Amino acid sequence: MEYTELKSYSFYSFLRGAGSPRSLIEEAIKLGLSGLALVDRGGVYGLPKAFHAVQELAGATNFKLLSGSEIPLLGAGKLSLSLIAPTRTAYGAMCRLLTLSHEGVPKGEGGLSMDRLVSCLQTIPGADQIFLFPEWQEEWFFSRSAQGAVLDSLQSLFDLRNPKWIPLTRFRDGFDREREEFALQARDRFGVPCVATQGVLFPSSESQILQDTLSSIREGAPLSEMGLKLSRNAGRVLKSPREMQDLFAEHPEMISETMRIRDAATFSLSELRYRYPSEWIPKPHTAQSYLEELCKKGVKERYRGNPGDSVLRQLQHELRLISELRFADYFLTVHDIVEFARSRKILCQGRGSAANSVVCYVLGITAIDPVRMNLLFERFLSAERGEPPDIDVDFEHERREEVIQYLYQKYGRDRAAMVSAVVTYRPRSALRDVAKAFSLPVGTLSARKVEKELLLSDGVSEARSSKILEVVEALEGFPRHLSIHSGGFTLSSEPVDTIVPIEPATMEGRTIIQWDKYDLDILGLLKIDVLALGMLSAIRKNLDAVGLQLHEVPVEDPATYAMMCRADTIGVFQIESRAQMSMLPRLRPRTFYDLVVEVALVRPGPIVGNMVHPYLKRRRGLERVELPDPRLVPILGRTYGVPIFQEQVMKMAVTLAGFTPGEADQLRRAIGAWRSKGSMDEIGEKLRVGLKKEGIPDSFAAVIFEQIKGFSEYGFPESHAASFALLTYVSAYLKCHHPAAFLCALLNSQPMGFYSPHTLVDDAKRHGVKVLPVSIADSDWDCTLNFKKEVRLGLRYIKGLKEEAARKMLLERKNRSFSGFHDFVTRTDFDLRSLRALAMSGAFEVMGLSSRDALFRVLSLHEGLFRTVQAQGELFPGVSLPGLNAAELVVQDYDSLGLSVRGHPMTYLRENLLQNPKFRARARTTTFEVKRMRNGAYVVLPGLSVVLQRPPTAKGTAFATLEDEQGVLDLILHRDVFVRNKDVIREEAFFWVKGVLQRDGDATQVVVKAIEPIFSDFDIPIAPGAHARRY
Amino acid sequence: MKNRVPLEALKSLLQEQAPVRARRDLGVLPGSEPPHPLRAGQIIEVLGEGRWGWCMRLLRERESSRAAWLSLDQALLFPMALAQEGIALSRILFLERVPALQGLDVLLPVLRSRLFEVVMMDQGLLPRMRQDAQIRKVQLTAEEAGAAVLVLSQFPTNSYGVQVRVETGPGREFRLEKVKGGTGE
Amino acid sequence: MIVESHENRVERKASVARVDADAQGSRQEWWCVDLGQATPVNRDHFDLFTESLFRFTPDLVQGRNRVFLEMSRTRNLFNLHTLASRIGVLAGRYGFDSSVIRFGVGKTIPAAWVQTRWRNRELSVLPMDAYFDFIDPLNFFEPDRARRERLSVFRTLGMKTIQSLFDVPKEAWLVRFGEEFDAFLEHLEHGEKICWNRFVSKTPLVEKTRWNAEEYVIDAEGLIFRIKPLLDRLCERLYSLHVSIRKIELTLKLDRPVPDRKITLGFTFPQTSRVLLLKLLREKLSREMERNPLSDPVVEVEMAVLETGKREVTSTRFSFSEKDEQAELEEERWLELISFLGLKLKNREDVFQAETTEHLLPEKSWKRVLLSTPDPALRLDRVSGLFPKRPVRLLSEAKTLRRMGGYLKLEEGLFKICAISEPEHLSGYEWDVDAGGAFDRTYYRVKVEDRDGGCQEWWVYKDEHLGKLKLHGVY
Repeated sequence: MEYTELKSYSFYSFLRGAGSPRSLIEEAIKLGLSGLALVDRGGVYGLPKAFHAVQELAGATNFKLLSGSEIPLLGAGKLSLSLIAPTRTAYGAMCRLLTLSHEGVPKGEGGLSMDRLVSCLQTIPGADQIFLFPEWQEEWFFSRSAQGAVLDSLQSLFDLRNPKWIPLTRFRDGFDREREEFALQARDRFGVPCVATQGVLFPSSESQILQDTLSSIREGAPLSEMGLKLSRNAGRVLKSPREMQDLFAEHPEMISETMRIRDAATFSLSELRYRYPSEWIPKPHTAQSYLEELCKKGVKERYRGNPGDSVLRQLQHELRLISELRFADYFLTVHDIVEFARSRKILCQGRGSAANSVVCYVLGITAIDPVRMNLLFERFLSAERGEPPDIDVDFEHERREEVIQYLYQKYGRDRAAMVSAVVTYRPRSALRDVAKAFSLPVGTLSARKVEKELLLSDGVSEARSSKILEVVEALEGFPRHLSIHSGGFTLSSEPVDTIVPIEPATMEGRTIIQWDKYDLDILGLLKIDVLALGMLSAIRKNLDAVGLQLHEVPVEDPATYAMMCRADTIGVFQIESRAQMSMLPRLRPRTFYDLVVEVALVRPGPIVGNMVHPYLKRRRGLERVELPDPRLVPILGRTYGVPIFQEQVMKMAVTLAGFTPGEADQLRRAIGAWRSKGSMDEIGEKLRVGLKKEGIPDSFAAVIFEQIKGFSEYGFPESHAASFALLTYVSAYLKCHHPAAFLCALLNSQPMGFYSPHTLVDDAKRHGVKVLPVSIADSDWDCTLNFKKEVRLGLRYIKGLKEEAARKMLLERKNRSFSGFHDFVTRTDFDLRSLRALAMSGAFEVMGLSSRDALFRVLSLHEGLFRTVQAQGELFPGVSLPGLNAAELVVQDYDSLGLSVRGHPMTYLRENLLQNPKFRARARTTTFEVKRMRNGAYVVLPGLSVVLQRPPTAKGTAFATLEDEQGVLDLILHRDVFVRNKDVIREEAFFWVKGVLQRDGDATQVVVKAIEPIFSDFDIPIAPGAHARRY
Repeated sequence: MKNRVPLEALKSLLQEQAPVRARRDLGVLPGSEPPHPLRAGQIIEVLGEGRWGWCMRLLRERESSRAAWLSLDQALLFPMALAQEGIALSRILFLERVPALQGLDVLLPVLRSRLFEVVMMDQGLLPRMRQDAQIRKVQLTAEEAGAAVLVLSQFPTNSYGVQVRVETGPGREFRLEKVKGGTGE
Repeated sequence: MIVESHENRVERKASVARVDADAQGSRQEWWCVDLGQATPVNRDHFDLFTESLFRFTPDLVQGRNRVFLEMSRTRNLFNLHTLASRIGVLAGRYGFDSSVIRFGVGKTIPAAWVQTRWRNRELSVLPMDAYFDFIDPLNFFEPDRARRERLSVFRTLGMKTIQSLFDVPKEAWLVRFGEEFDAFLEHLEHGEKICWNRFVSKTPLVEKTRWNAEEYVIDAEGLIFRIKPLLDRLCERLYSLHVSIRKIELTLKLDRPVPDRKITLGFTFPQTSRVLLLKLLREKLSREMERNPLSDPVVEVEMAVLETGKREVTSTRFSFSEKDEQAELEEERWLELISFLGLKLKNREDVFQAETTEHLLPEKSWKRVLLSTPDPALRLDRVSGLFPKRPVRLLSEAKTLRRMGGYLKLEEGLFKICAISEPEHLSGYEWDVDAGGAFDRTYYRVKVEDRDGGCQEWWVYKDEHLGKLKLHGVY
């Protein structure tokens, strides 16, 4: 006896279903069902994952997945209609229907009224093929009159031409007889067959408690008050054909009906294909021919006439592959977006595996010449893999919105939609919700507190807290709601909602599709990533200030590389982190390729795969580079025989083991799985056999094998490293030659990067940049650069100042500058709080009013009448407050601006310490002197902690950066030292550091032995967390 | 000079409530052929397996009045079943674990409160047949309070008034036959 | 609106201060007791605690989580140390953490509080935070954003200590901060002139009466006549306080030096009517005397109300129509009956009315409820319709059954199975760990026939966990 379950809900019916699509499929196959229909409420969220599970698990059995969904009917009490799409057109119509049910409705309350549903089913093309299963809730069974009303309301639904069935479920809860009577009554009245279903909510009966907890979270009431809203028994669970046969002993035809429906539904998700929009391609051309023409034009531009035959050969090879896989319109769409950005002067750059393709370089999508860097095209696109290409393009983070609106406006909201990302339960968020469901007084406690105090308090019995933790563990990975993927966009020639329903996102003005990026990969659909990068906007502002173009930046400038070797790279893209700054003096980059290696080397992968030290030793010539096989020289030569990039591994497989480029890419993907599974699958065997066949000595083959096994997933793609290295080089060049413009651009694109503004300002001042304080006469909203290359702080840094009031003031200043305090007060419409913020930031010093006097004046203005009565004169002239000394000025700056242009707080703290005889001896040492000391010297010095970092791979040791007026110094705190001084580091900003200096060439670090806080009345109002970046 | 009584305390003590009109006729015993009237002051002994079902039916028919249920140990009537029969649960006062010896001390105040038309109790609570005077007292109090007392018992004790045996027929309707006319006739 | 300029306001105050000080001639001395709790503590406990401080001084001012005692007159009875230890004990009794309590002494209430918090009163040493301590010593206002901004303004202007405020002429501050600074000045300089509202204590509800032993009051009836006037006075005062009695304690002092007899009397519903109280008292006393009669004559009786309750609105209803009259009488009798039965039966829970709940387990599908009026508006029961037919009788202990072919074996004997209904499967409540955790039962309605042909219908369930058959109810 065979059976197909026609109504099962996965956990993508948010907060209703308690099983993942995969677990449902697994259980169904284990029980021997011959098919399963996934009908999630309000959408098709779980279909791709179920489809993937069926592909993996079904194997030999003829198990079939039916695609469906459930639409709640509004206004008709507890009625809902579940649909199953038998054909591709029916599936398109269902998606259209689902999109309509979500339109203009707040998230989570999608639904259609009865007559709107009926009209849609009649009008949408192909909608009449959809299988309909009207579903009603239990209460109808208890009053005869209500049953009549239900049948009447369904009358209009049963008049439709769609194939219809009446679902009958048996829950063995004592009301099965009434349900059956009602179903048979409906069957006789409408002449529509009945079919057996189980309304599955969870794969196995153990997850009943999970489902109860989810309904409690959904209803917002603790479990003890849910009463009958909870499921009465574990009836809604997957049942084997034998059990279903016993349940429906008197109606075997209902079971066979399910098999008939299964055979009638032929649609499978694999039929989903869509083409990229190409109607804007000029008429005579097809997508491919237009692409080739653009490439020809591009080659002339990029290579200035003499591309060389290797470039042409590679270009032809790529174009042939693109036309074979028919991805031409995808490349054209990306090209069109990049062209739009160029026309609007928005800096953008492709990254990731796209940098391997000459076509992308030629079309201007990426900025790296793959042939010159001899990158591997198969890493981006290969015939065997068959997956669509995935091009990520970074845009300036402040102007990305323009690009997105352009896409919506050009392709229309129905053809362009953003990819969704499923927000799932993390242990933290799960714990709070589950504790609330178990009626613990959670209130506003943070999850950590709930765990520490509530669970262990005596009010909660041991058994209950262990049950709570058990549920929390099971709940992890359950979806809570849909949110927007950071930049994923999907475009299609016909409306997207014939492939996947579209629903509004929480962020207003954005629409998302119901699938996330993994679903798109499973189904082989195309996606473009429109991402935001802070550094791009900084570089663009910098280039505009300097009057340069990106490609006009001189290449291989020795001064820039010298600066990098000194590790003087605060603010430079990618190489400003503490780990990078300690690596730079050892690696001493001299060419662009060294920079590419530097960007790729300081990553968890290479550190774990212990490739860093051999590379450095060989680069300094301390270790001999021996390559057993001459063919390895072109591959590993440039990295001294140490494989760092994934492309190198693939090339080794191609040349040594006779792999085709496509197989090499499959090898790269499989290696990642090896480590997790720990076992070698058939691609790994092929590699071992290939190596042996090529005559590689076993010892070296084993070494290669280990190195490949060790790092593939961690290894950084060379193309990605190259495109980042380009930005690194440009930002380093600008910092070296135009430090003032560099600082100004960085300050205007905050928050970004590794350091806080005050560190950037101090570092720039050490490079001779003059930074002028905020002033109402000269400052604009952003920081500005005056003709003498001095940076004027912008009004944006004043805490508590409103932007539109400031902009109005700037306009007012244009037509006539302000003569005095009262002239300023009367002509601008700042409120009292903004005026106070302006006064405290010292913006009035240009008028001869110290921040103290200005504030004193502002305080005398009374709300409302200060513009008229008070304006003419000070009520009590002659009151003069003592001026602020230098230290208090700095404190004041930090209080109102978060940074100070007058000087580093350490200068004043040091003066204060020098007066105290106890500290006089050790207060004098500065970071500059420490860097001069010999290796192993014992060091004591005061300083301000700027950065604290505890990377998980460092097994407990923490890295910090100490800053004073002369520079920065790296600190290493081993696990015991860190644990001993954890609260000092967290609470205090300034402290004494005692430790041993460690020198390796130019790179110096202090291994900290002890830390003591500095107690002085000189307290800078920097909250320790505020100025230091915690990672 | 012992026990001198202060005058105003005496006056307020003697003040009694005004007498209330007593109800005489309380309707008919359900399922009795010919219909047997239920009058105030009657003590009816209910026997047979279907006595609980019969009591519930009596309660359902007397929708507007209140009833009290005195039981030796845990209340045997299942409130959910009563609710499903459509009986308003707030109309029934349950008294559980009434000590056997104090049966009378509890029954009399309940009757005297004139709140209940029907009082149902276990047989164990009423004193054995020898104390006729006490039975007589219960009948008088019940009559004065306009209430009837139903005693559910396993075995007939033929010491009180009307005795009724309730048998549950195959179709679950009740067959009620009078066993013996009691003294309360 | 006459705007009194600042000068003469200061002048007026100074003059008043001079007159007052001379007239009183006494110097005020305030002791501050701060509970050291950030969040507001339990209101009643705090009131009772404050009330208990009456034994030290009649003059109390109550703030939030702190109390100020005006000790100038009783200064010589206690020193700070003994006062501190005694208050610690009192606080402990009312559930406050006595280790956290802080004390301070000051000429005025603000000075006392500043002393408590900052341990000294030197203006030149007090940081700027003390500014708000002077303004709001009773801690009625939550520290908010305006306060934090004011402190950062002071820091900008370089004001480090309270004394530095006075380097600038007062008028400049008054113009800028208006009445806030004015309040600060007043509290700082003329603290004792401000009339803080004193704590009004609730008079204890205790009545006592004595008589000489010759009257030989030995039995309940005699006592009742003596108690009656006490009860009347108590009810009078309760009526004015608009409260009703929930618990009364009688202390009988005997002629011989024997420990007093304490009789407590608790009511299910708070009582107000004098007649009913007397009846219940008589009942309780007579039973008490029966159980252990008095050995010696009583010479003194003290009646104290331990617990009071909200006065029931119904009892003050003015009944005009006959029906209202009837309803009020019925209610009066209902309250009386319930209170009486509560005393009669072993524990009060045995008198109850039932209400259905939504719990799946039959034994938990109803709960005990006691309504204060005989028949409130009929509440339509919506829960019972959601369950299949339930048996009339539910056994308090489910009896185990053993199935033998077509028969079911019970202690009483074999029963032949005539028919079995379709199952009702109830499972779940795995989360209800403390109350027995998960259950998994499948109920059946089974028609059975005993040896002599009598047919019954049972409600049987199979416990899936243990695999046993149980008889749970009879239809």
